[in-house]
Amino acid sequence: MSDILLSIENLETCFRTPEGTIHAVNGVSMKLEPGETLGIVGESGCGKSVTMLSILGLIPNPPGKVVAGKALYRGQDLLKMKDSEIRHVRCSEIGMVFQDPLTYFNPVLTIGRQVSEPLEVHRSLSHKEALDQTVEMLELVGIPRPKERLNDYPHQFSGGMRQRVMIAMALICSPQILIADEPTTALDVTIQAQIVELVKSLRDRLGMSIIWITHDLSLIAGLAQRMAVMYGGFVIEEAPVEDMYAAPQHPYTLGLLGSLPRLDDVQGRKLVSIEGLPPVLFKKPTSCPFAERCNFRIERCNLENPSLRLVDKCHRVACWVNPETRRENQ
Amino acid sequence: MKVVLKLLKNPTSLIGIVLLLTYVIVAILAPAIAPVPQNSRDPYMIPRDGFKTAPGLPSAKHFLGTTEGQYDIFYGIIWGTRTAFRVGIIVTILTLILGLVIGSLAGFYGHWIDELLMRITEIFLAFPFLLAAITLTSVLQAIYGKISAGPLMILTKLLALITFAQGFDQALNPIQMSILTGMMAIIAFGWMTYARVIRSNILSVKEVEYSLAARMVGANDMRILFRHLMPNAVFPVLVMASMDIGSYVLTFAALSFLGLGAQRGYADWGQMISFARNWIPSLAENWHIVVFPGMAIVLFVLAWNLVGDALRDILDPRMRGRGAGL
Repeated sequence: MSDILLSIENLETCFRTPEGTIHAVNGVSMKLEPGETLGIVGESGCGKSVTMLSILGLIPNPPGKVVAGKALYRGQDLLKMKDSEIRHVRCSEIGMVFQDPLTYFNPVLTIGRQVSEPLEVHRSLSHKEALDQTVEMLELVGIPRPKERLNDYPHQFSGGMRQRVMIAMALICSPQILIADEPTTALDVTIQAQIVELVKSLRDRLGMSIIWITHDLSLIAGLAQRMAVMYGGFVIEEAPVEDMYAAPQHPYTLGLLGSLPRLDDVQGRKLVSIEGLPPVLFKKPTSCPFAERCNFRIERCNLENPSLRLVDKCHRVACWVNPETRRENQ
Repeated sequence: MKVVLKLLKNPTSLIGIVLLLTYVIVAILAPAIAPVPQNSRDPYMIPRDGFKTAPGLPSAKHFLGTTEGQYDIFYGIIWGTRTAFRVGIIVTILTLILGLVIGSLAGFYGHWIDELLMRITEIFLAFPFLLAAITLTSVLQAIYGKISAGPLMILTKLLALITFAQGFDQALNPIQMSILTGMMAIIAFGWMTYARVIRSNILSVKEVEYSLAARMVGANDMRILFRHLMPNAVFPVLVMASMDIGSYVLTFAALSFLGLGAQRGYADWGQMISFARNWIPSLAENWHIVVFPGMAIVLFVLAWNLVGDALRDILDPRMRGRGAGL
């Protein structure tokens, strides 16, 4: 772990609502190396997106607030940056792709203007140079006839094409990190595969790091080197992808993988679902957040919240239960 | 381009456009249609033919007759077209800008800024428009005798720069001053509805995801507000403003009629009608002193309203396919 591009340490974010304070992220730590692809998995509302929006200062305040933690990008704390400094980081150092490509485009501006906007904001280029780069980028993400499509509006593109355009917009200033926040969730399966392939090829060509947020476990497998599983605002397991799929440790990860069909499944195996609902985070959990739904629960789970511990090289889990017990029950 | 084509296809808006174009041509060609007399110091001052009190009927020399004090009505109407355009358009644009800035800041930043700006808006709304404009004009005119500097003077000079293309260093004469105070009064009490409408529109678009995307791109607040949100929110307000041009001209005419806007003898339609005040009992004989300037005002306001109405029908998708046969 010689040089680390992005290091998030003990990040905590909460939202003040009339019903009370919601602790959305409760001390998340993760690291990203140059050129690495990190997958973040978890169900809705577990704090995946909030973590990413927090480090970029995009949490609307109020009601949201980053309460504690650091987000070091090349040694600089993003959370302590002034507004003008963090603005420069956005898109030109860290790009982001969002889930629903239609609503994230401004309906009254042409694609050309929107894709070239980061250049306009961050680089002092002439109009022509900016347009040339935009065309080049659109071509790179596989938009046919990019020059003619510059003057089209977002609604004139199909969902898959729109997502490609959004990727072009995120990458046009050649950022070091691309954060993809469930970029394929709104697309159908064949288009999903295309987008994943596109991102892979762009990664190989441009050499950026990727943080890929999803709740589709199968998608991560072919894309990421390392993955983190989040639950209730915590990272509960973190491991290289192969280890994670071969030997999942946390009961929640076990549940997630158990709910998916596998090619090497024994015929007739029933897919399991995890009983219960994710916790509502009105107070910072003092016990293991998964305890209520956990089949392996022991007494300690209700008393103390486990922190991430190394169980294997590079494989870290936050669970009190004896690894052997878990494995036997698998 | 489509909008223009639709405007031309619709008979009511076509009438409006033809009327407006006529006014524009008259305004441009004013020096040719009604030549300025050689001894005139200001082309906007209506030439007089003697000092007799009683109005003169239309004749070969005075095409549309003369008013009380022998001011030429034809000349006044022709040159008054310029005043009407000048006042109407400048007042509308400035009112619109004021309303847009206040309303969009309130909607965009929310919280106490919103509270503060909207309460101020409500205070201004509480005054009846015409009454407030009349009061403010007379107050301003009274103040201007006494001050020569300060923020109020800078504002006035700015307005003079826009209205009369007059440099900052030149002193303002009383004729210009009285027109400027009238315009300022209308602007001061005209912006509130624009502010309210743009605020509500900004509120509804600022939570949409593309404003987060714009933030992600690294755009600052002003860029997000004016480049990303404004185009999504501004159209209803623009249509409102286009319909209001006529009513601002009408209000200014009312001020002039009361002796507050344009000074006596200035080529302004409202001011010309004010010459008829003393002749109300004998309007049967002197009908021309009211009818001609009055017609100029009515047709001007009508033209703007027709165009504004049609513009609303075209730009408002909810109205599409209904009414107006568009």
